[in-house]
Order: sequence, then structure tokens, then C-alpha cells
Amino acid sequence: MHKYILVAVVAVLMTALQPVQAQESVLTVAVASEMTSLEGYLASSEANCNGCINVVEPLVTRDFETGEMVPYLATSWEIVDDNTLEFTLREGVTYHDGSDFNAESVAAYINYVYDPANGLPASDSLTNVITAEVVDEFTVRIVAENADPILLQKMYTVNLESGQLITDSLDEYPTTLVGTGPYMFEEWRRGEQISFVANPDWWGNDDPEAARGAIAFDRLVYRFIPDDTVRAAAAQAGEVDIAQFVTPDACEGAADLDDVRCESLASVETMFMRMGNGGFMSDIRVREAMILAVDKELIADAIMGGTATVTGQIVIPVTTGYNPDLPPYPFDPERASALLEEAAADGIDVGQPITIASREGLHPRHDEVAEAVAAMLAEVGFNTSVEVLPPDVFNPTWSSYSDDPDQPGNWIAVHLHGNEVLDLYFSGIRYFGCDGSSSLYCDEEVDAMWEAANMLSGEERDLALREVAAVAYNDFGNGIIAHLNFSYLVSEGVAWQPQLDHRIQAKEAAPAS
Amino acid sequence: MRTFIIARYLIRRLLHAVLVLFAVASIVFFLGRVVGDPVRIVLGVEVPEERVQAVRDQLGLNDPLPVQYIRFVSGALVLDFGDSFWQKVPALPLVVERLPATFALTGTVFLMAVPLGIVLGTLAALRPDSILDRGISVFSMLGVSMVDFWLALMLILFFAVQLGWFKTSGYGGFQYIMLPALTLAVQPFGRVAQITRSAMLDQFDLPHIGVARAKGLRERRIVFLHAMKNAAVPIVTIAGDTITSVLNGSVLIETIFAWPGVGQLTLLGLGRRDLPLVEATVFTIALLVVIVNLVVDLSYAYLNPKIRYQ
Repeated sequence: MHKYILVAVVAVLMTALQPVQAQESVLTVAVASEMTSLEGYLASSEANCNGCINVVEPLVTRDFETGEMVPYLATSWEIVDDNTLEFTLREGVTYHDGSDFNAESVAAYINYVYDPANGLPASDSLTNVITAEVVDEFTVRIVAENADPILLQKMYTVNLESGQLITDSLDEYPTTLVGTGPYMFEEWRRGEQISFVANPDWWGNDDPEAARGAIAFDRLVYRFIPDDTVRAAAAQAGEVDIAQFVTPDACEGAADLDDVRCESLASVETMFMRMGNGGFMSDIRVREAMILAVDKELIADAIMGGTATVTGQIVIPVTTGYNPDLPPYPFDPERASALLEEAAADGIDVGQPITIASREGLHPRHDEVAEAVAAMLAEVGFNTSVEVLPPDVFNPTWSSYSDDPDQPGNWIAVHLHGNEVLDLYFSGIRYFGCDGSSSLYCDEEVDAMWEAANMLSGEERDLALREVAAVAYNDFGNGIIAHLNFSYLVSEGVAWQPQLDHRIQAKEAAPAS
Repeated sequence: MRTFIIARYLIRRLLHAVLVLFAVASIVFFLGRVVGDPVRIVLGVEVPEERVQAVRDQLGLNDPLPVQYIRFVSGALVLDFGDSFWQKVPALPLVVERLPATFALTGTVFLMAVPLGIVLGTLAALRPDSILDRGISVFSMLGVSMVDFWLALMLILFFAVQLGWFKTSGYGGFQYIMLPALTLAVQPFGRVAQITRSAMLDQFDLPHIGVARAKGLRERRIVFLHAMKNAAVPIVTIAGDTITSVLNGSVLIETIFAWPGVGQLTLLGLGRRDLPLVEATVFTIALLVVIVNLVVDLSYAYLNPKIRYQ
């Protein structure tokens, strides 16, 4: 009997003396879409590479409170000329594969990934081609093919991966991710999730201020849940800590729940009608009528449930070139009707059929927005119909109109444009320029103004871009409607707020105290 | 002699299967190239035309269609469908790595729908026009007419969000698979129950069942040995159809539940006009359907020796 008591006491003691296993803290995020590959240049957009921004880091980043560019993996920089920036790199940083972060590794990476000859579209997003030159071990020069006064701002989207990955294991570039960031790539289970583990050797552990955050979770899991309702349900059921891009309905519903809250913030995405000045839109009265006919407030408040902010500009207020003197276009159906009648009296065929097009999956309720726009235009005398098209039909149709100089001006897409570089020139040449890749608008004087502004920097650039913005605004080139907010359901157990770039960076989140 | 007949039949069916697979793959190849522009989907709308042309060259999409087709056929013969435009890795392994999830879901749906459908269909046939029969008929009719995506969302909101019994979505064990499997099982369950009831009723009207009853055989023996074996051919057909319909038709449900099966991959591939991926997924699903149909055909001989392989 005593023997059994002794065994029981020993067992109890052994259990009590066992070291307590610390529970792994995991941040689980539900995202709307799955990345196409793990190529590091995709990481600057959360939608293109989910969670990848936790692994790779840029030379410079942006302070969204001040709008200023601030040091990151580079501790300082110098503008050498219109094409060249010289960066001094942070010392003592290593990549997740153990190799050193230095000028040579930066050059190896940039000179491969941003060279169009290698078939990667990385340079397309910069609208310029960049190369890197090693000056010394910790000094690198970034050289743009064309003069580029906003090269520094663009470097915010250039996230760096290991040069060793490029030189030794190029085949693995699309399927792995080797950066210097706070989290290391663990596993991509296609169709299911991607996971990352904390990097104990992250340089930011020693300097959280410069790193603009700290590691608070052992592991990150980004689950791919494409259905809006299910993504929100996963947050409500406590299965995920953050549900990305939820609908206005889900946000309204969260007000009644104790465990989750809605976080909603303006994004860089702007909703607009791509109009241009071709075909029958060459008459300014038709363009003005079209813009005045649309009730932007109704779209933002009633259809988007308050998750959009009415605007008259294609960029958000912190952008260089944003003109604070340009208000949202008014809603004035009477004037719109009068303008149309006037144009019709002068022989313009204002009754010709117009298609209001939208792309499936663009944002929640995009189809209702297209329907509403078509109905409002019909109300003032336009002859409208609606097409909601899958991407494989929408995209080629969109391009065929901008590729055709004689386009009839009657296929009007209600679409989104996002300017992450936060410089108006980027959007201006694209939608208000004769050679813009998506532009239906062409005015040689405006083109000359864009190019002149692009040669400037600093305050001069800002003022020059504001001036072009005003000219384009008064010429009614495109029907700007609203800036979109993006909304998230967030567990009350997590302290996190979205930033303007809508990247979900775990270093900015922590368990709620 | 019988073995020879079966072997000859098998060879004929296998040749037939190869032809079917070749035809399916060719149709997908040509349809994929006449509808939409894969490069514009991959690159988006804001990329200049020169870049689009460069990528088309890189992917071989600017080559004449016959050249592309010969390249496709010679690759398909060695199960090489090329690299996925979307994920930039070979397409077929992407499909193969999704098969365990698809098999798990198909198997669970089969186990949920078929045994229960057979049991309830038989019970309904044993008591025609009873309350039980009417109840089962209404229930199975409801199953057949249910809109699956609506049912999926209702099940998620009730069982996952309200009760917390199962997971809303994702890939894993019992808690994850229950809701997608239940959603997909409702329709086949209804069909199996209806077919079983009708096939068993036909059997119960036949003289040999009356003779068996007159001889005083036990009802269980009559039902399971005499009636069920003869009624099995339509039941096995509908059971096989359950498997092929889940293989073919779970695209939407896999997407809603974020279940990483072949169906979800097909939808993603189609949305991105990822031609190699679509070709590989359609080929794989067609292959599985051909195999299931072959097994169902072969089972007929076992179940009903009157059926001969001509």
C-alpha cells in the first residue's frame, strides 16, 4: 500500500516540477485572395503577396503621419542627380539564409529583379528601370534609366530579398521568400494558408524605434478565405484575429458583438468613371453632364455604407500634387440635363448607347455602384446599360479601348485606381495623359504640364502638380467619385489598426493588454 | 472464358478512356485559346501593351495555334502541361498536391450520403405510403432541391458561429470537413434515397420475392439478399454518380469553405485564364471520372450476372 502512495506522490511531484511549456502566440489573419507567387517584388501590396511584407524590407519607408520618407534598411541617403540616389546601408543586418545584408547583395537582387530582360514585371510598377551599383561594402547607388525626381518615394515599394537567393538558387525565387524582416517564411500551403515564424535575429529587436515596431507573436498565419461572409464569420467565431476587407454589413454587425470590432480606414484606392475625351465625350458639356449627374454622396453613404469618402481627385490628401482647393464634383442633375440638351441642339448624338462596366470582385457592392451610376445617367438623358464582367473579359475590353485612338467614348468603366507612391504624376500620366497605359484622355497642353512638373522636386513639384490637377479637374477628364475605405474585423484580443497602405504588418500588432 | 471476356472488355474501355481524355484535353486547349486573353489577366489593366506582347512571346502564346497544339500534345503525352502562368511552377504537381483534400471530401460525402440514402430509401420502400415513407420522400426531395451555396452559409452561421461546433472554413480534420461535406451530401443523399426506394419497390413487386415470402424466409434475408442485390445496379450507378458529381461539382463549395481541393484550384485557374493549370485540372478530373465509371461498369457483372461484356 505504502509503495502505491509513494509512486503517486512521486508522480504528482514530477508533474508539478515539469517546466511550464510557454504557449505559442499566433496571429491569424483571414485574407481575401491568395498570392500568385512569392517573388519579393510583389510584397509591397498586401493583396499581391499576403503577409510577405513581414519577411522582406525596403531601404526607406514612409511615415504616414508626416508623409515623409524615413530611413529603414538604409540609414541615410543622398540625391546625386535626377537619376541617382546613394544609400548608406544599415550594418549588422543578416538575411534569413544567414548571408550578410550589404551593397553587393542589394545590387545582385535589384540588378536581376528590376531588369526587364529577365521577364519580371517589377520595373513596370516603377514606370522606370532601375539598376544598382556598389560603391563600397555599405554604400549602394540606385540609378534610374530616366530622370526620376520621385525615385526615393518609389523605393518604398522596392523590398529586398537575399542576393544569395538570386545568385545561388534562382529557381527557388518564385516559391520561397528570404528577407531581413521580423518574420521568416515557414510554409505556403496552396489554397489554404501561408505561415511565418518570428526571426530571433531581426535587427529591429535592438532598435524598435528605427524598425517602427516589435515582434509580439511567435508565428503568423494568413489563411486564404475568398468568400466575404465566411471571412467575417471566421472572425466572429474567433478562428482568426483579423479578417481583411469585410463588407459594410459585417462592420455594422460587429457593433453588436463583444469579441470583435470593426476597423475601417481610407485606402489609396479611388473609385472613378474612366471617361476620357474621345468620341462623343470630346464635347466638354457631355463630360461635365456625366459627372454632375452622379450622386457621389449617395454612392458613398447608401451603397458603400459609409465606407467611402467623396472626392474630386484621383489621389488621397497626403499625396504630392493633391490640390486641397478642388472639392468633390457637385451633384446637379438639372444642370446635367441642361448641358446635354445644349449639346444635343448642337448636333452631338447624346442618345447613343453607353455601357457602364464593372469588374467582378472589384470591391464589395461594386455591381450596385455600376447599376446606380447607370440609373443616374439615364435620369438626365443618357442611354445607359450595365455590364458586370469577369476579369478575363473586363481586362481585355478595358485595354482595347485605351489602345484605340478612335475609341467611341461609350464604354465607361467604374473602376478603382490606387497610387501607393503618393505622387500625383504616377496617376496623372496613366489616366490623364495621351500615352497613359489606361488613359482615354488626351490633351497635349496637359501632357506638357505633366512632363514639366515631373522634372521638379520638393515644393515646386507639389505646386506644379497641383496646377495640372486643377486643369484636368476643370476639363472633366475622368469622373472621380470617392476614396474607398477598407474595413477589417479585428479580435478584441489584438491591438492593431490599419495603416494607409493597408499592409498587415505584425510588428505593428500585439496582444491587447 | 469469362476472364478473357473481361480482359477484352477492359482493354476496349481503356482505349475508349484514352480517347475521351484526349478529346477533353483538346477541347479545353482550343476553348482556352479562343476565349479571353490570359496575359491581360495575369498583368492587370494598367500595364503597357509592349510588356503584354513580351509576356505573350515568353509564354509562347504568339506562336501559331497548330504549333501551340503540337507542343501541348507532346507535353500531355508525358503528363507535362507546362508551368502555371499564375504560380510559375509546373501545373500538374499543383493539381496532384490538391488531390488528398478532394479525396477526403469526396469520401466523406460518399459515406454520409450513400449508406444513409440506401437505408432510408429501403425503409421507405418497405412501408409504402406510410408516414415514414412520406417523411423520407419529403426529406429526400428537400435534399435534391436545396441550393447548396445558401445551405453552406446557413450551416456556417449556425454550427460554426452560433454553436461553435465546427470550423467556418479551412483544411483539417473532423471539425473542418463536416460542414463542406454535409453541404455536398444533401443532394446525393436525396437522389440515392429516391432511387433506392423506387428500385426496391420494383423488386418487391416481382414474383420471386412473393415466393420467398410464401416460403417463410425472414424479411431481412429477403430484403438484403434477394431484393437488394437485384436492385443494386441503379443504386451503384447513382452511388458512382455521387462520386463523380463531387469531383466535378464541388468548385463553389470548396471556394466558400476555403477547402484546398482540385475544384477550388480549377476556379482560381479559370479566373486567371491560367491555361496550363486549367488543362491539368480538367485532365485530372476527367481521368478520375473515367476510372470511377469503369469501376461502376465492372461492378455490374458482379451484381447482375445477366449483364455480359459485349
